[in-house]
Amino acid sequence: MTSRSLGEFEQLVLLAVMRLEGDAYGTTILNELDARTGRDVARGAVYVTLERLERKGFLTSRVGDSTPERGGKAKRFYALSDEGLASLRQAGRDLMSLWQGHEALLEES
Amino acid sequence: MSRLLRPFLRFATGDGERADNILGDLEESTRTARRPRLARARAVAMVGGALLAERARRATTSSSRLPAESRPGFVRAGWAEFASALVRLRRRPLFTLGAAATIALGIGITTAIFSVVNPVVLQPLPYPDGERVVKVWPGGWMTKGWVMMLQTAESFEALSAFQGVSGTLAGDARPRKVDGASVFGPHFAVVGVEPSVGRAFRDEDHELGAEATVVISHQLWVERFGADTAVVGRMIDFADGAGSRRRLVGVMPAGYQPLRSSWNFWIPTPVRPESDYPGSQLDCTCRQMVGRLAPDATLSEASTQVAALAVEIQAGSPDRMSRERLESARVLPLLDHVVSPYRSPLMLVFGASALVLLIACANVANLLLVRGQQRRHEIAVRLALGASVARIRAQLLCESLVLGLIGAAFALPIARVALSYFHTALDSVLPRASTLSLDGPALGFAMVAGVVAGLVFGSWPALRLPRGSAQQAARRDTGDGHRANRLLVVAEVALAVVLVIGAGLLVRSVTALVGTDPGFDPDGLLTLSVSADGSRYEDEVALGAFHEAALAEIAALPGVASVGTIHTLPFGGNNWGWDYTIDSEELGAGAPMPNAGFRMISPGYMTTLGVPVLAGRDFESTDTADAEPVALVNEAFARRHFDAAADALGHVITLNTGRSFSIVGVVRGVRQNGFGEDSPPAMFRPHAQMGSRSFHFVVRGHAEIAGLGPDLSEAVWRVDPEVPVGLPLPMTALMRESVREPRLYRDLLSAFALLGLALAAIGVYGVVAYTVSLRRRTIAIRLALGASRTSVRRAAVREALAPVMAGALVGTLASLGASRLLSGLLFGIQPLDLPTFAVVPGLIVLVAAVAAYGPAFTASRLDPASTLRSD
Repeated sequence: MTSRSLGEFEQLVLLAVMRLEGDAYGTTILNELDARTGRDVARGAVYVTLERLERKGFLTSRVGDSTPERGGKAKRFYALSDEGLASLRQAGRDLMSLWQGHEALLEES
Repeated sequence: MSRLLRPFLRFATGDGERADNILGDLEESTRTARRPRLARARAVAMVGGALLAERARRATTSSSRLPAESRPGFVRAGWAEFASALVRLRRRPLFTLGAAATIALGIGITTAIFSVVNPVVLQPLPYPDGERVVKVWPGGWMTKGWVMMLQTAESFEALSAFQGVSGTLAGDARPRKVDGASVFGPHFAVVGVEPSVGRAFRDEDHELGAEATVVISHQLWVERFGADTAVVGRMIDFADGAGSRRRLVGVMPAGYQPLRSSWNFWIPTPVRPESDYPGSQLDCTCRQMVGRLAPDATLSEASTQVAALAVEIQAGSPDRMSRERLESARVLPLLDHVVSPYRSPLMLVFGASALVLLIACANVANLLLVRGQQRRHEIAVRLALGASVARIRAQLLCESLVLGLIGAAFALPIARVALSYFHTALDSVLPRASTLSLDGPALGFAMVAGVVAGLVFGSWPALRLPRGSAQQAARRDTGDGHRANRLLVVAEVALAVVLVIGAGLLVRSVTALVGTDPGFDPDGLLTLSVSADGSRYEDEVALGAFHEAALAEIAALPGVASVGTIHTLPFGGNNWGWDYTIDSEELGAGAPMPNAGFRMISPGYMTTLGVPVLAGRDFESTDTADAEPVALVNEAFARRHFDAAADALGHVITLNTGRSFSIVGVVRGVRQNGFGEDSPPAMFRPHAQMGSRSFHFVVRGHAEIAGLGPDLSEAVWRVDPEVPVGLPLPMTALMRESVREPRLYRDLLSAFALLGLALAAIGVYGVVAYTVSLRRRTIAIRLALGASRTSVRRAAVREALAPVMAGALVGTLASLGASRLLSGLLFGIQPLDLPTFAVVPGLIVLVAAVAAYGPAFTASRLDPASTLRSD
């Protein structure tokens, strides 16, 4: 696997971060994945993947504000890095290239 | 539990800030859960586990890629090994959970017992240089003069005498009876703790005619006076034998632990202006002494000096000190004095809990042996690929250590539950047990126990790895592994036998104890304590009038068959004794003066208790203060001096104070000090002739006594509404309380024995099931060749019982020695009690047979054809 290649779950996490547009932290990412994929996503897997993606340079993070609901603990917001966006774009293109000609299958339930 | 979540997450992430971010996310998302704390804990466990596994995966991957010379040092390699063991255990959740739960049970119980043993037995006294605080001349009546003589001993920096007393705090709030101490000498200098507000007592506070002062506890100051510093220095309503008001001069610091946990006040020992003891106007009564050794003095030097001074004291007052008391003059560490009655029993209980842990370790070792067999191919492959046996052993041992630590972590909630039971059970039974908690030492003990348990149950399976070839590792297990399992069964059963025999001995002992005849009929008896303190009852006439009026009120109640009073109840734990002579006989020089129990009772007391008069008569209403001084004696007293009970009548008892009275009756003995002691010699005086401000009503009801309690209190308050009374207590409850400690040890050891037996039975079941699984093919062939299913079952059970019977034999032999450790706790039976030793091994073999029957039955139901086909 090259440094730019992504696993399936890594792609899902990056997409969720992208969709959340600045409001992407652990809880919202998990909720977005639950809502969009219908999967029962393990929390542990989300945090492990976030850490791994940040280590690979595909994500950046910043510490935000804390609220009483969080026991006074700050949120860690994630955002796609340029390299992360590039990897995601490439993964999307690769996928769509392979799906080409079989788009009708996507419509079947 | 919440205190563990954050550190766990920090450990899992390796980054404190990230851990807090994640914890914040989890708190936010579990806020609305039905049980938020539980949901949060589960989420942290899942996320932390995943992050930990990821760290482990990265650690092993990165270190294994490095050349040998670049590999990380011992600590990082150890961490990598630990992490990869965690990963391997996580892949087999059922096995890990089962093993960890078994170990957790053993460690949890042992940790809970340690949490009791540590503060009660092991911790030093909570005073500065507590090891220099000593008990001087254990117990007994002292005079001020004698104490002052002992204070001249150079070995003591400070020496003080004290006696437990009670008083009543009145004022604006409801009157409250409190316990405290009357102290003579620099009591607070002895313990090394001075009042945090106000002052301690000065020498002049002890002088005849000095103003009455009091020092109170911090708790009482907060509860009663709202921690108001302005109250210090003021007069407060405090009633005790000396009066009804005292000046509050000091408050002890918060957290101060007095010599008795029930004490809430201290008063200077009152010096009696007139005394029961002719010629001793400046004497006072003290019963206990404590001292602080001088910096350069030793215990033996202090003991020698005290013994020498005691000889001088006895020479000066030979009629007031018996030889027995003289010979008891010595000095011992106060801690020893406080904990010595409890040290052996508690250490025995701790040892029993350790046996349970060992049985749990044996069970897990069996599990690991079985798992080792299941992994033999994996290990063979690794050996073939060049891994060393030592490396694989280290990895197996590391897995065991991790299992042990996981078990230790799971053990903490178990220990917490066990400790909450101990709080209730041990309250007022053990000293220094008021704050039992899972503190730092207890947590450290749990971790160490986890490591040790891991080494204990992991070492044998790890060492059993064959040296050398992969072929040996891959070889199908035959006798060798099976033999190891059977040896572990022998060990488990032996330990279980030791536990159950110990518990059996205590069960029989307590049964014998409570079955002992107390000397009176306790059923249907209700008691009520009364303290006629205060200035209104300093006069004996007033006290006598109150006593008679209250007796009459209670006797008139419907439902009361009879009533009497006594100043120290049987089984009440309090005792008075007095030195005396018979008929003023002259004792030889240095001859011991006999001592006997001394009780003040009312007419009707013996009748109420159901104690028969063996000779002469009981006290009557005519035995008033103006009548001839009379006494009753019990059988033991009469036997001590005379040939027959009736021979005691008419003789005169003279106390060492000079007071005399004639014996008018002999009564049967009562076990005054509890079930465990025979009735000691005792004499009785009528309350009208020698009263006590504190005494107990003893009432026998016509029928059910439960509803009588409020009526008794009301009857006393009709005579005087300001007299504090205690809670009505059935005599049977008092007697049950007296055996609370032996019952506690019995219950603890029984619980451990049941647990050990259950674990051993599970171990037997597991081994038999494993053996059957190994021999499926053989059993199928036997069945196919015509063996009956019954014979297959019998053979399986017989084979299982061989190590069980060996274990029962070993355990029985071990118990022959171990049971002697219980001799101090046994009553009425010997450590080598034949019925117990005869029944227990058989019982355990029976339990093991039942445990083995399940897998044996399963084996007998095998279908030979399908079994042989599938193999």
